[in-house]
Amino acid sequence: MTSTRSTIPPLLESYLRLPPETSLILLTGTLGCSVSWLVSRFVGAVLHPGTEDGFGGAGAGAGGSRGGRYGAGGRGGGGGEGGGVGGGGHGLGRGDDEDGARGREDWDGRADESGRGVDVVLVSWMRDLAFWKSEIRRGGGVDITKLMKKDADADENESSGGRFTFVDCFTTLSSLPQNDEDALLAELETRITAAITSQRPSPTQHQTNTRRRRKTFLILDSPSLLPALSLLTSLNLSTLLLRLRALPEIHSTLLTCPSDLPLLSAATPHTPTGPGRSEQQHQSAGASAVEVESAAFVVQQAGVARCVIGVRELETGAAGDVSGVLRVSRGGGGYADGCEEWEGEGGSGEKEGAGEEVKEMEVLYLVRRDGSARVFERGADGL
Amino acid sequence: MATRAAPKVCDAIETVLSNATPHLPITSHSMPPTNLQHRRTHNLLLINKLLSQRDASSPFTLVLDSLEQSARPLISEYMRRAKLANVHVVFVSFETLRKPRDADIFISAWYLTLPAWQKEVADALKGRQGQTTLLILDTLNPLSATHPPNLAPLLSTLITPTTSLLAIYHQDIPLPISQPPQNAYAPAPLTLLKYLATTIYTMHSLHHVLARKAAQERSHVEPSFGLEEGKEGVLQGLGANGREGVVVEMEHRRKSGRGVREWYFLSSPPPARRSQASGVLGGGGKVGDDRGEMVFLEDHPLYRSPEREGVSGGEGGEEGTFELGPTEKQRRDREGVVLPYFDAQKGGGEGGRILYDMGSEDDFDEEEDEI
Repeated sequence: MTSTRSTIPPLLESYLRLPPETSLILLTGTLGCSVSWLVSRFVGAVLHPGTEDGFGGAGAGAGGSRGGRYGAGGRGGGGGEGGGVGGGGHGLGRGDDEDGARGREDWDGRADESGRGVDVVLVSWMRDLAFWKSEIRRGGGVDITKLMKKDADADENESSGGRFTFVDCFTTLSSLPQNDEDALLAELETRITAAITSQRPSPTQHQTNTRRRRKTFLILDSPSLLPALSLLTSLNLSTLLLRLRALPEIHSTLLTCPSDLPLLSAATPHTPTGPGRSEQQHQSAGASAVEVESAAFVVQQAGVARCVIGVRELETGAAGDVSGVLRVSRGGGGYADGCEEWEGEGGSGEKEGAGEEVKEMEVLYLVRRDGSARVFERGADGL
Repeated sequence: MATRAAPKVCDAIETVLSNATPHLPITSHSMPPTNLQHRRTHNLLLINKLLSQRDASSPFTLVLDSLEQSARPLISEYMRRAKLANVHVVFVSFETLRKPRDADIFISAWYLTLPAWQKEVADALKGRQGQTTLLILDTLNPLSATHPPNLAPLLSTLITPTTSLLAIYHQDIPLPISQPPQNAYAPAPLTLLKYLATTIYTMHSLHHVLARKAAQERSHVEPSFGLEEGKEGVLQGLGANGREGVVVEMEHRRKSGRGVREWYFLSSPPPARRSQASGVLGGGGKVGDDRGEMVFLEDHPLYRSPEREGVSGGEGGEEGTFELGPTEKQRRDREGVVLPYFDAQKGGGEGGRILYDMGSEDDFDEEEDEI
C-alpha cells in the first residue's frame, strides 16, 4: 500500500484507479511531453495488489497479509535498482504461489465488485516491450516480466494466467498488410482479440472461475499512428476500437494519443456566428489528409471518453523543475456513468457510483530522471 | 447565422433578438415588457412541446455539439421524457457502446453495414405503426464522411409521420478529404443538415457561456476554450461538460418557415434519483420531478446575478447616475389618467366638442377660448 503511494502522486490517486466498466480514458501527450509515465502508473495501479487491498478495505487475513508482502516487493521497484526489483519480484511471485486458493478466490470475487483484480493487455504501436518493461518497473513499481512469464511458462495447474500481456504492433508494423485496409483491420483485430481472450484462465483451472470471469483493462498506445501513416482511416480505426471495447472480456480501455498542435488544428475551431461558413473555409484551408484524419480520430475519441488527461509543455518554455502541465477534463462519455440512464442496466449504477465523478484539474508535474514523479498545484513549491 | 436566418425572422421580437449581440441572448430589460412576456410563455411552451414529442412538432431535430459540451444530457432528457410520454425510442449507435437505459431498441450500427442497419431500423419501426417513435442517431459524422451525397435521401427515408429523428453532429470532427472531389457544387454535409433540420440545438457549456458573458460585460476579449485556444496539447478547456447543466441554443423552424430562436438552460436531473424512486413517481402520476428542468438562460441565477447587482448598486452601465425611467408612483399616476378620448366615447353625442378642464395656472382668454 505504501509503495503505491510512493509511485503514484497523491493528487493523481483518484484518477489512476480503474474507471467504471466499458468506459474509456484518453491520455494525450505532445512531442515534448510523453504520457508513458502516466500509462505506467495506470498499469501499476491496476496490477498492484496493494491498491486493491487499500481501496477494498478488506479485513480478511489473506488479503491483508498479501498486501503487506506485495508492498515490500513494490518498494524495491520504487528504488529503481535492478537487483532490488528482481529480488522483490521473486518474493512476490513465490508468495503468490504459496498463497492458498482462498486468497485468490477472494481476489477473483472482488474483481467485479470493486473493479480491482483485472488483467492488463497493452497494445503498443510506438514502443517495444523493453521500453515498457523498464517504464512500468520504474513508474508503476511492478515487474511485468514476472506477470507475463506465468503465461509463457504455462504454469497450468497453479497460475491465474499472465496478468499482463503485451501485443507488439511496433516492431511488427512492417509485417502488417500495408495496402489493404480490410486485411489490416482483420489482422489487428484477431491479434488483439487473441491476446485478450487468451489471457483469461480456462474454467478448469479454478473452480470459482466459472462463476466470475477476470476482466481485462485494455491499453492502446498510440493507435493514431495508423491514420498518420495513411494505413487506416480514422473512421475504420474508431470502429476497430469499438469492436475491441465491446468484447465481453474488456473492463475498460485506456487510449493514448498525441495531441500536438498540427494534429489538432484540422479540427474545426468553429465560430458560433457562422459554423457553415467556417467549415467550408476550413476545407479549403489546405489541411492535409493526415492532419484531418489524426484530428478526427483524437476528437472523436475525446468525445466518447469518460475523461481526458492531457500533458503538455509549459507555455512559458522549459523549466528545470517542471516537466509540464497536466490537465484532467471531463469527456462526453462521462455522462454515460454520471447519469444512470446511460447504464446498460439500472442496477449497475449503484455500485459504480462510488468514484464516478471526474473532477477536472490542472496541475504541474515533474518526472525525474529515475522515473519518479511529483505532481503539484500551480504556484506551489516546485521541489 | 444572421444572413441565413434573416428571411425567416418576421416579427419584431426576433428582429430585436438578431440585432442584439450575436453570441449571447439579450438581457431581459432591453425589451418591452409585453413582448417579453409573450416570448417567454411561448418559448417555454415550445421547448417543452419539442422535448415531449407532442404533435410531431419537429420531424428532424439536429443537435450540434462539440468537445466542450456533449449533447448527451439533452439526448438523455429527450429519452427520459419520451419514456414518460410512452414514445417508442430507437437508438441507433455509431459510437455508443452500451444501451442507454431509456432506449427501447438499441442498434449497434457501427457493427453493421449501411443496408444492414437500415433494415434493422425498418424492422424496429415496422411493428409500431400507431405509436409515435423517436429515432436517435448518436452521431451523423460517419455518415457524412462516407455517404455525403446520400445523406439527404437517407435521412428522409427514416422520417415518417409518426417517426421523428433526433441526430447529433459533432462540429469539431473534420470530414475526411475525399481523394476524387465528389461534387464541387454539392453543399457540405453540415450545411445540408442545417437546411434539412426543423429544429437545431447547439450545445454550450454553462461555464464557457458565463465566462464569455463576464468578458463581454467588461468589454474584454472573449475567452476561448479547448481546441479554439490553439494551444499545443489542449483538447478540452477547463469547465467543459459541466455537471450542473447545459446551455442549449435552440432554433426552431415552424411549418410557415418562421424561425424562433431562444437560449435555454437545462439543469441535470437530481443525482439522488434512483430507478425505484422514479418508478414510484411515475406510478403516482407525479412525473414532473423526474425530468431535468428547462428554463431560460436569462433566468439562471449565475447568468442573471451580475445585472441585478449592477442595478442595486446603482452603477449599471445603462442607468447612469440618475433614473430616467418613471418611478412606481409615477407609473401608477400615469395609468390613472383618464384621457379625453375615453370620455368622448362614453357618450355625449355632441361631436366636435373640445373637452377641456381649466387648470389653476391657465389664464382664461375670453377672445380665443370663446366657442
